[in-house]
Amino acid sequence: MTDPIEKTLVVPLPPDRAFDLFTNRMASWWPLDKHSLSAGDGKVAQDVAITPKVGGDVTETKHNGTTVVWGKVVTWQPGKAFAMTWQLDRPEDEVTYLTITFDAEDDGTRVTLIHDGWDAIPEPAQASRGHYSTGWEFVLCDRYKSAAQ
Amino acid sequence: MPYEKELAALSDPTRQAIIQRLRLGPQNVARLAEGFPISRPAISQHLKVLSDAGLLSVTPNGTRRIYALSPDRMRDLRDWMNSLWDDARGAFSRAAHDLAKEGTPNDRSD
Repeated sequence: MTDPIEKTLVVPLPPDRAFDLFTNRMASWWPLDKHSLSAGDGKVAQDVAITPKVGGDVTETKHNGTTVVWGKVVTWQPGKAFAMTWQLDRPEDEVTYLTITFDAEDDGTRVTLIHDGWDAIPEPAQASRGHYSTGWEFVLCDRYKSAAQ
Repeated sequence: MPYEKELAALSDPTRQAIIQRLRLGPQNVARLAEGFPISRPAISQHLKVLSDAGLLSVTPNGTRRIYALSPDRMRDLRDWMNSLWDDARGAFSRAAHDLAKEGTPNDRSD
């Protein structure tokens, strides 16, 4: 069992606005220069955009104008929750899941990010037949952490 | 990305399997190759990619070389990965605070 990665923070916005900023205006805050597929080429991505419906694509527009899909929306509840598959260039059965929830607090919204789904990752016996699972680099990290211990 | 090379090294199923095998302890190429349906030179090539990425340590032992996981490097990698989400969280927090300062178009009373 690999624990999910979890991050939380409280922002001074009501849940509907926090949700809107996180999703519809993602390109305005996501560190496109550091964390994008374009960044892997030493470039800055032009855009990242979420198609606001279940099944919609989450798409990076790379520095050269080409687009690449990071994953698909699986939960779209404005003001409450957003979830997506975190797939990048992996096959469909090798995805992990990112879930963001927005809970009202007295002075704002608690935003909780959970990156989960590592249980699909095979143990060594399964790995030996060449089937492995990774949706995103974090998978490798977690496997690496346990491997190193 | 600072760890581009490591990630590329880890993106291959055979290399993932090699890592899993090395969890059980350091091994030489011959021993490692036993569990794979590919040739020993092919295994050596994969080991080279992993070593070049700094993910394995190599220790000469007579005519053989012993491969082991490189824990420090892996810890570094894990730390960096974790920092990606911290970066995203920080960036989102700043944007949210900026937005809060602006207020909403409807509640400006001045």
